[in-house]
Amino acid sequence: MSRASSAPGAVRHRRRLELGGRLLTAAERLLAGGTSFTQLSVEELISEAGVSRSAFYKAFEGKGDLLHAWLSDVVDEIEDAADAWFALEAPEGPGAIRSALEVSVRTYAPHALLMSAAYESAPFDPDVRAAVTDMVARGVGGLRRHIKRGQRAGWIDPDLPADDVAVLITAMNERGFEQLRRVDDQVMLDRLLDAHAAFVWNALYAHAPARVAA
Amino acid sequence: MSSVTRKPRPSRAERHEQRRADIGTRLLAALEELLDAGGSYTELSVERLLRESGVARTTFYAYFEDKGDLLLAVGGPVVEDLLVGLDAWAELPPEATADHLAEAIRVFLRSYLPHRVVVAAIAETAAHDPRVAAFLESRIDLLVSRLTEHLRAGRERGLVRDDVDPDAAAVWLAALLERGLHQMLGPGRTDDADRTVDALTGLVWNAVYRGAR
Repeated sequence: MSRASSAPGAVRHRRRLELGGRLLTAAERLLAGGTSFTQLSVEELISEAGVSRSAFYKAFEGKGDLLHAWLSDVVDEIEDAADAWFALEAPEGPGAIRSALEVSVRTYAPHALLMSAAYESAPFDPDVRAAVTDMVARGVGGLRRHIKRGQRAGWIDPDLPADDVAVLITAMNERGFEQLRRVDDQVMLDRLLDAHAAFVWNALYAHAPARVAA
Repeated sequence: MSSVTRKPRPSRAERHEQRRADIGTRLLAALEELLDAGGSYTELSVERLLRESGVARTTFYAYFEDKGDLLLAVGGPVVEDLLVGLDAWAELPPEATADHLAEAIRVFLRSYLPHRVVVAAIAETAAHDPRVAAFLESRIDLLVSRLTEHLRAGRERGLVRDDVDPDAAAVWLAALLERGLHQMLGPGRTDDADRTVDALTGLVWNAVYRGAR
């Protein structure tokens, strides 16, 4: 750590962290007001954050760079949350899956606006695109290892092709959880989360040898 | 007599719509050529698209506001095709087996593959273009209601598991199809559907049908 702080890039890194926090809070305020990240100008952003133009460009190449820096930080947090599911051993029922996934939902919720901004910017910005792709790939990797472990131990259906199923379930979750944010009816939200847990439970665990034998 | 049976001359607005659809089809073919190997629709320039399709710039802008508008013009028939491709699945009989499901999924993928470029372009553009986002949402709603209907009828007939909540499960199934096919068979990926048929069948058979009877 001390080595890193004396490295040439350290000043810039510190500046990015300090300014980044303020800028992102300002960005969230503007996004919450209905502006899309693509339409948002650097001018609006720095004036909302009270950051000078020169300070902004000393720390960031542009707003895509700001988003990319944020995404690299938040990806670890999201991965840790996903571990609540991936670290499960022989879960007992859909309830266990739902509880584990709620950790992800809770972690994701405060970042929802910026996460949408990342998806929105990905087609325009190769760095953001790469970070989003990396985040998805890490999710797929974690789920694939979980499936393979369960198949070896007999608590996940051994006939499922682990690699492709991990890609498909991650894709379903990515799209589905994005849509959940637009559901404001609490009863429907609850049904959707139950249906998701039931889907995953039946797809992976319910028909596994350990359970069929029991 | 002849004046009664004669087809009415299309109105100016109808001619415009027809022309918009025709040019849209030409542009769509060029688009599929350009992006089937992957690449971003957002980053594809109108110039490149016009060069590939041989459509003049003034013609393009006479019929389309921009590339997002082009997707609205060509998206409707594409989604109709996809929904027709879902028929075999939606109409699985109560005695259907995993093999029947696999065959129905194969039929659906056959209708998806020729359209994968435009489907991907719509999903990508929806993230930053509210008109395309509204179009996509409305079409996903159609898919969800189609699947809900299937799950509800299936439960009554003993095809679908009792613990499947039709309205809510349909949302997840639709998400699985929309994003999942993009990841497995989207532009730039393989067009060999066999692996996707296997994985989707395994997953969906377990989740929705297996053990219903």
